[in-house]
Order: sequence, then structure tokens, then C-alpha cells
Amino acid sequence: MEYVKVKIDGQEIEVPKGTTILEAAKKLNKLIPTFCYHEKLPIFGGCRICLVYDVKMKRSIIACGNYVYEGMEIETENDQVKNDRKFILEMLFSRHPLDCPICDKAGECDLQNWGTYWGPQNTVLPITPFEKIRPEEDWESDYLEYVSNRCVLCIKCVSVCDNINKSHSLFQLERAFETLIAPVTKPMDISSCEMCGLCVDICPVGSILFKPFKFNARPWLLKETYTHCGFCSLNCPVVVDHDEKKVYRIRSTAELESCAKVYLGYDSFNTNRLNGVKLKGENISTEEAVQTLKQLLESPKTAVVLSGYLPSNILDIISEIKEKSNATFTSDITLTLLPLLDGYGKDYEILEFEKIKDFKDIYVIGDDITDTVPVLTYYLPNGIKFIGENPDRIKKLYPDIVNLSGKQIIEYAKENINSNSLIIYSSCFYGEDAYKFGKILRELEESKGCKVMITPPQSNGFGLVNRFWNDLEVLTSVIERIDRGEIENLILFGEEFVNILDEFKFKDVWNKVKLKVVFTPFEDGLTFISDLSIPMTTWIEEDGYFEGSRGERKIKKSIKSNNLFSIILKNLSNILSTNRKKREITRDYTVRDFIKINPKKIYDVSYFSLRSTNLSNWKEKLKCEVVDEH
Amino acid sequence: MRYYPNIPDLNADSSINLLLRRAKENRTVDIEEYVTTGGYSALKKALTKFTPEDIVVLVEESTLRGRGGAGFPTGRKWRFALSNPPPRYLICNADESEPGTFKDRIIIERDPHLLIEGMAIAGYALGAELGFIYIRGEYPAGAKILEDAIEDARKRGFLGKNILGTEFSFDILVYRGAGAYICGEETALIESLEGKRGHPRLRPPYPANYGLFGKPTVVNNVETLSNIPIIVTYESYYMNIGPSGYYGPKLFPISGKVNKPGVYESTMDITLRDLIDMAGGMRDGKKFKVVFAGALGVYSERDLDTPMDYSPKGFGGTGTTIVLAEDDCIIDSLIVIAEFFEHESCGKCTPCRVGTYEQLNILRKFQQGTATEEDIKLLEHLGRNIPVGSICGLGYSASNAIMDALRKFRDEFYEHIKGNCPAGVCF
Ligand SMILES: Cc1cc2nc3c(=O)[nH]c(=O)nc-3n(C[C@H](O)[C@H](O)[C@H](O)COP(=O)(O)O)c2cc1C
Ligand code: SF4
Ligand code: SF4
Ligand code: SF4
Ligand code: SF4
Ligand code: FES
Repeated sequence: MEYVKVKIDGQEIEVPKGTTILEAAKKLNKLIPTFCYHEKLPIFGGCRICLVYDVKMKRSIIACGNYVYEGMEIETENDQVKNDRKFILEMLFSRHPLDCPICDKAGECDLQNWGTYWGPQNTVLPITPFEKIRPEEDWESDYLEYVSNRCVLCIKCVSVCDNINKSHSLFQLERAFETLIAPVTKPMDISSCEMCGLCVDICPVGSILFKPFKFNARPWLLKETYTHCGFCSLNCPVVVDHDEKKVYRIRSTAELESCAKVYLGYDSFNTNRLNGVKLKGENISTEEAVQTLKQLLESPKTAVVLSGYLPSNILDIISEIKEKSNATFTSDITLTLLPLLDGYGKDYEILEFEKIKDFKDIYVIGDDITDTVPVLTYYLPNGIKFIGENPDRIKKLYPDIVNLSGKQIIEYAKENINSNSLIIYSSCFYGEDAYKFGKILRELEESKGCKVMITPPQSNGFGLVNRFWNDLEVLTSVIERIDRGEIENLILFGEEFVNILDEFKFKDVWNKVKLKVVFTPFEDGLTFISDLSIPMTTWIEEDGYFEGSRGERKIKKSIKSNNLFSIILKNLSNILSTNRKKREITRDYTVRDFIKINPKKIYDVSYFSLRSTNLSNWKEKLKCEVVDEH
Repeated sequence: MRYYPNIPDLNADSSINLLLRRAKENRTVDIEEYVTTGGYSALKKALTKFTPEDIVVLVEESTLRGRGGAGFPTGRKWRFALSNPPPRYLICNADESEPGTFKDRIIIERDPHLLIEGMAIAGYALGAELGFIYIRGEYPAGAKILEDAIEDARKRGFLGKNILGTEFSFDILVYRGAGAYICGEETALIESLEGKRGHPRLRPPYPANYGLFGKPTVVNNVETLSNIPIIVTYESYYMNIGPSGYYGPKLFPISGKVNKPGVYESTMDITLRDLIDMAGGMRDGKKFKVVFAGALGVYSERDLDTPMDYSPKGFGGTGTTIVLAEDDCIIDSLIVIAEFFEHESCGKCTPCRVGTYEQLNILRKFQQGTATEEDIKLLEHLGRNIPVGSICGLGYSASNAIMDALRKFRDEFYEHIKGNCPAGVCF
């Protein structure tokens, strides 16, 4: 690599050719203000707040959009620069309403910040408050709101939607001072907008607001916890804003990864939380609960249904428990991810997202990944190939669509995949089909040099499969054993069990089971019909990790919980002393007709999403739209 | 002969009969007439007698400068593009949207083949196989005339594959703008051609290096390209036309308070005073007050002997001359200009987007009688700072006229503060 020597405020530094002044200055810990720059977006260079002084050229140039050259001398703090910054701020403040006390962005607003350092913090031009108006633009959304008065027209919102989310939902309306940011179609909630929230997070001022957050908290009074999202296997880095009791919002980091599941769906954490251990509605002590569980786990007549959303640190304890128990272990993923990997082989290797661009042909097979693992689409180029039944928002990538379903997909894939391509699969196959498809994926890798990327909807499906590979029994077989009376007790983690059976079958099975224990975060539905309900923590109440489709990712506790979940599991593990009898497990992946196979939609992928008011309201709106169309 | 509606009957006159040779009357010269009056012979000469390199050298030696406003030496621009590998594109900038500028339209509407011939020769010199004409949306007839003329030229083998039986192939596509002045700025034009919002690009890289679809691109004005057949025809005799260093014909669109507003062709040693005479002198014998060089600068009586060339002291630019008389008000005229910039700023960069808006608002206060001395300072403050941070020429020049006027007609600002409009227009 070619290096060039430059001087910034007298300090010399050597940086690779092609480095921008801004990047070089950052290496020297210089603070250069920016509005329109973001490291993950194309350079726009419009706001001009980053002007610095090129000593040799004797003029002001922008730091974000100019590259260093050998012998360059830059000043970032001289009078000219101070004057330039002040002028830009004067311009941006000229019609700004200065309504910081009632602005949601106050405290995390770049206009405030840069104004404090370099600006006038007021209007310099003699303009009365009555003249401080810009044309308004109603986005007609229940979630996002645009305040034109505060907009600095940095265009990052449009850019992030075009270049990261790629749904192209925003555009610049009008021009010059009348320029406004507007949704491409209105009402916004039923437009191409995916409610990923990136435009809100990237807005440097209080111009795009998230309505559910608006007027609910002052950001500086909240705690922020950097963690990874637990709503799908991508485990995107996110920030939880909370006060240890309640989550106020969950937003993206500078990585610009977030989707509606978390951006809208965070509110599920605040609803109907189960706080104590309850036996038929009455509070009981943890010891009593542990004793009951101990008895159940020692019995071979008990089945434990695990969830693909449990983090690995919890699965580790359950794994210890398993070794000391005679219960049967199963999970809904014995119908999905397990058969797939059984067919493919245990040695699946993850592919880093950075490598995606190395592939010429990319296939997305099965469910629409904008529903199951939306952020993955941010990393895909236009012109992918989609093989599946219900392509919806993935159409934003202008895919070649092969509209097929079920076994047809498998047949098609066997013959028609180009060599050396990338094959992305998230979900859609159950049981035998999943197994067969797994085998075909392996074949395509071996015979055609393809690479497979598996991105299950569950945040920790891989963690579950890795730990319980030898012990997981297929859910359908377990149900049949309940039917035959061989299994009498059920211990459920999460709610997938309810959601994967048709209603009739669920009632039938439920009636046959004698003792029902449920570990759940929520006190509703299941807890009312179970014998024993035990609070389960979620990924915002745990220090731990997931094993997702991008490898291990840490999660960090933000909300304080009573820790009953891990206390009970740990105590249980300590007092159990049974020696697990080895049982020969044969996995029959035949799918029975009582299994409910639903195409996955972003608002009902998991039992968390189903509880989010934001997501359900959005779903209702989107559904109305479908009706209107006919 | 085809008939095209909506073509204004502009005065046109020339002392040298080069660019306007066939365009002094209001009619569209068809290919027949163009060829019988010597048209396309320069193209034939270029293709048979010269190499592309010869043409570039001719253009370099001609000292031809861009007639689109910036006055950049055309030969140098071509040379720069040629240093980058093909494919290369040629774009003719026919967006002509500056106030008072209507010189390109006269070539397009009356003698379109002159431009087409110029583009074909330029395409040959640049090794380009495709040229575009980006014509402003408000010239619908012009677009149709060009399309028809291009079609005729194709039929005669002056455009298309293997032009005049040579190896050289070149074709031209016409694109219409949608009413934005900024799309005349070459990088915004390129963005617009690519189907994007007309925002100027950051430079470097320049179009000659990274232009249309990322390929080396030369953007030249209509009048610039129409000079090419003349240069090829006259070769070194071209250097007898006009003053040293600023050879060649130049068009001057003159409007305002003169007796015969129109487009005038002359060499560049003409002065502003002579030009006004050429346009029939001041209308109704009124006293001369000021010339607006389009939107870009203000010339007072003391500047009347300015040469209309590209020297540092010269008039430069597009040659646009808007003549105002004693009964016109400086403030009132500046407001028209300021409104133009406020409306046409693309909004990409802060200083220009907000600056043009606020500058207009402050100017209006002078007309409303609410201005104070503080407002003069604010205008100067804006005028000093807007260009510094602006991305493109629009921002660089948005305050020129106001700053010029503040220098040359300062008294009128003070009079307005006192509530007195010397021309009797404002109050
Ligand atoms: C705001 C703005 C508007 C412009 N409009 C035009 C125009 O309408 N026609 C034109 O030829 N050049 C226009 N230009 C100049 C072009 O950017 C460019 O310099 C020119 O087309 C180059 O051609 P030339 O070298 O032949 O002059 C404009 C420049 C700016 C900054
Ligand atoms: S929420 Fe996401 S998809 Fe919707 S407009 Fe904003 S960035 Fe685009
Ligand atoms: S709404 Fe925010 S992000 Fe979008 S242009 Fe305005 S200031 Fe920038
Ligand atoms: S893509 Fe998955 S991990 Fe990323 S934010 Fe959405 S639900 Fe969370
Ligand atoms: S200077 Fe004005 S016209 Fe040019 S890019 Fe900036 S805002 Fe647009
Ligand atoms: S941050 Fe550099 S121009 Fe906006």
C-alpha cells in the first residue's frame, strides 16, 4: 500500500493513500464536526460543517470528501475554520425553531453539540419567531414523524434507506430551501418502508422522531446498554435505552443494523411480565418449584421443550440438568434447523457477511428473509435470485423470482443452481423436506463449489443444536408419545410449542398431559392454563451469549430482574443426581398434519413479536392495505 | 421545409458572419441548405485530412474557451479527457437557463447542423462514439428541431456507423431537462442524465476523468461546439478573428432597455459600449444605468469600456448583457436575481441553500422600507461566506451581483434605508 505524509495542525502522520482528511484527523483524535458524513454511507459532502483549511491551496475544503496528498498541510482549528463552522451553524440556525426543551433529540443532537463548541447558539439574522417556518410534510405514519423546521438536510436518512436498508422509501421533495424529506408513498406505514428505524437513528437532529418514544423520556436520563439483538440469528449489535425497569427503545449502533422486529418490537419486553413463580396462580417459593421440577426431570415420563431463543449461557445449565435427568428433550427446531443440519452435516461453517460480495450469483431460497432475518438484505446486492413462494419485501433487491413452493423448490434447486454461487436459506422446510434440502445443500457445495449460508429465524438455534445434537428427539414423535400416554409431563421453555401445533391438536395434547410447567417471560395465555409458571429472562436481562449465524455474540443485561430463572435452573442442576440412562434415539422426520406450517411474517415470527403492540398495529394496517387492493 | 411552433423572432446580427452566418433570419436551416452552403465540409475535412490528434492541436491553438460561463480552455479539457481510457462520452450542454441568456437557442433553432457537425468533429477528436445533447425542458421546439436534424444527418451518413465511409462512428441522443437551472452545471447535468436528482457532484474527480456512468466525459456548451467546424475550416486563419489570445467569434445575448434586443455576434475586442450601440443604443434615449452580466455581476457606467473577452478585466462568461436604464432600480433588479438563485439552488449544500434564501429576505427589506444599516453588513457577511463553503458555481456566484452592487451602487442601498427609491420603483 502506498502511504502519504500529511501534517494536521502541525502534527505529522502517515496514512494510506486514499484516506480522507477526516479519517486521518480522527487518527490524531481531532474532533471535526460532521452532519452528513457516516462511515458506512457514500460521501455526500453537502452540509459543509467539516470545512478545514488546506494551507498549500490556501482555501477551505471539506474534510469528509477530500483525500490526503503527499505533503498536504491541514489546519482544523485556525480562525478561518472557526469562521467557516460558525457560518454554517448560523445558516442552519437561521430558521431553526430553537425548541430544544420540547425536542426529543435534545441531549443527543449534533446541532446542539456543534453549536456549543463552534456556533452561535442562536439566530444571528434578525428573524422573528413568526418567520421561523418551513413548509411542513406529514409522513402519515403512526411510528415516524418528520419535523421540517429542524431538518439540516444532511440527507443521511434518504441515504441510509437507499444504501443500507435499500427499500428506497424516502426522497427529497422540492429543492433549495423548500427541500423536504418525504416518504415515497403515503401513508408511510403501508409503503415500502420496513420500519427499521435507521433513518430515525441516523438523523443528527430532532427531525425524524420515533413516535412511540416521543415525549416519554429524556435520553440523558436513560441508561444505554450495548448488546446484541436476540430476535433472530443475525444478532445485530443494538443499544437498549432503559432505566433498569423498562425499555424505552432499542436502536441501532454505528453498524446501522436494526429491523422492525427490534425497532418496533422492543415493547414486548414491557408487557405482562411474569414476576414470581406461580403454582396454579398462587405464588410459591423457588424451593418448592425446584423440588417439583426435580421430580419431573427424574421421570422418563417428562418431556422438555426447548426454545431456539434461549441464550447459550442458559443452555449450558440446561445441558448440565439434562445429564442428570431422564426426561426427553425436544424443541420446535427438531422440525426445522435440526433436520436441515442432519441432512447437511454437523460441520456447517458460518460465512462472514464481508464475503458476500465475492459471489457473483446469490440465491435466497425459502421464506422471504426480509421477514425472518431482515438485516441480511442490507448486505445483499441487487439482482439476487429468489426461489420460494411468497416473495414480498425482498423485491426491493430486484430479484429474479422463481415462484415455487415446498418440494418443487428442492427439485428446482437440485438442477438449477449455478456453480460457485452463494445459497442463503433461512426457513420454510419442515421435517423430511428440511432433511432432504440439507442434503442437497451439501451436494451443491461439494459438486458445484457453492457456499451455503444458514440464517435461522431463531436467535440461538445453532447453540441449541450444538449442545443437544445427540439428545433431541423429534417433536412429532414426542407428541405421539404423549398420545400414547408414554409422556405425562411437559416442561416448556417459551411458547413455540403452542404456535407450531394446530389449535385442535394443542388442546388435545394439553388435556392429555398431567403436569404442565412453563418457563415464560410473560404472564398471560400459557401461564393461565399451566400448573407451574416460572419467569424466564429474555436477552435484555441476561449477561451471556448467542451462537447465531454470525458466530458467538455477547449479550448484556440492561433490565434488572429477580434472577429467578437462573437461580432455579442452577439450584435444579445442583440437586439433581440421577444418572441419565442412555436412550437410543431414532429421528423420524415425517411431518404430521397437526403441525402448523405458516409462512413467516416479520410481525409474527416469534412469540415476542406477537406480543408487541407496535408490531400488531402495523400488521393490522398492512392487512387493511391488502384488502383495499382487491 | 418543416415548421416548428413557439420560436421567438429574435433580432440577430453579426459583423463577422461565422456562428450566425445562416442564423440571422428566423427560420430553421435544413440539411439541404446547410450542405449547399458549405455545411459538413469541415467534418469531411476533419475525417479525411486530419487525425484526431490534429484536431485537438487545432483546438488548443485556437485558444477557444468554453462559452458556457466558466471560460475554461476547450483544448485543455479535451486533452485531460484523452488522458483517460475509452469509452469516452461527449455531452453538449444546452441547458441555457441563466437569466438573460438566449444565445445557444439561436444556433439550435436556426442552424442545428452547425452544432451537430461540431459534435461529430469533437467526437472524432475525443474518440467518443456517443454524444448527448442535454437541452432545457423549456426549449421543446429546440429539442424537436435537433431530433429531426440528427435524423436527417444520419440519413446522409454524417452520423451513425462509419461516417462518410470512414472507420469513425458517432451518434447523438437528445435529452430534455425538467426545468432546473442547476442541471446546467456539468456534474449535476451528468447526474440528471443518469436518472438521478440533479445535485452537483463533489470535485475532484472531474468529468474528464469520472463523468457519465463513471467514464471520461467532456461537457461543452452549444456555442463552444459550434466553433469547432469554424476552427477546422479556417485552421490558422482562425487566429485572425479577434484579439490576440481570445480568437474566434462570440455571441452576445442582449436584452433590456436597448432598441434592438437580440443576439449579436462579434469578435471579443468589442467593448460593452460598442455592444450596446450594436443593439441600437439605449431605448427611448434613456440614460444608461447598469448592465447585469446575467446573474453574475454588475457593470456600471464606469465599466462601459470593458472588453468583452476572457481576460481578468474582461467581461467573460456567457456574454449575457442585460441593460438597465436610469428608471430602473438596483434593489428591485437585485431582488429578481436573488429570487432566481433562491429558487434554483439545488439545496445540496448549506451555505448556498440557506444563504440564497436569507439574502433574498434581507434584500426584500430594502424594498419594504424596513432595512437598516445592519442589513448591509449582513448582506456583506453572506456574500463573503456563501462562496467559501459552496459546492458549485451557483453558490460561488450567488452573491456576486449583490456584492458588486454594494460596491458600485452603495448609495442606493442607503437611500432605500431612508425610504427613498431614486428610480421611483420601490415606494
Ligand atoms: C449553476 C450553473 C449553471 C450552468 N448552466 C450552464 C448552461 O446552462 N449551459 C452551459 O453551457 N454551461 C452551464 N454551466 C457551466 C457548465 O458547468 C460547464 O462549465 C460548461 O457546460 C462547460 O462547457 P464549456 O467549457 O464549453 O463552457 C453552468 C454552471 C453552473 C455552476
Ligand atoms: S424506517 Fe427504515 S425503511 Fe423506513 S424510511 Fe426509515 S430507513 Fe427507510
Ligand atoms: S431528516 Fe434528519 S437525517 Fe434526514 S435530512 Fe433532515 S436532518 Fe438529515
Ligand atoms: S435482523 Fe435479526 S438480529 Fe438484526 S435487528 Fe432484526 S431481528 Fe434483530
Ligand atoms: S452551491 Fe448551491 S446549487 Fe451548488 S451544490 Fe450547493 S446548494 Fe446546490
Ligand atoms: S460532514 Fe463533510 S460536508 Fe457534511
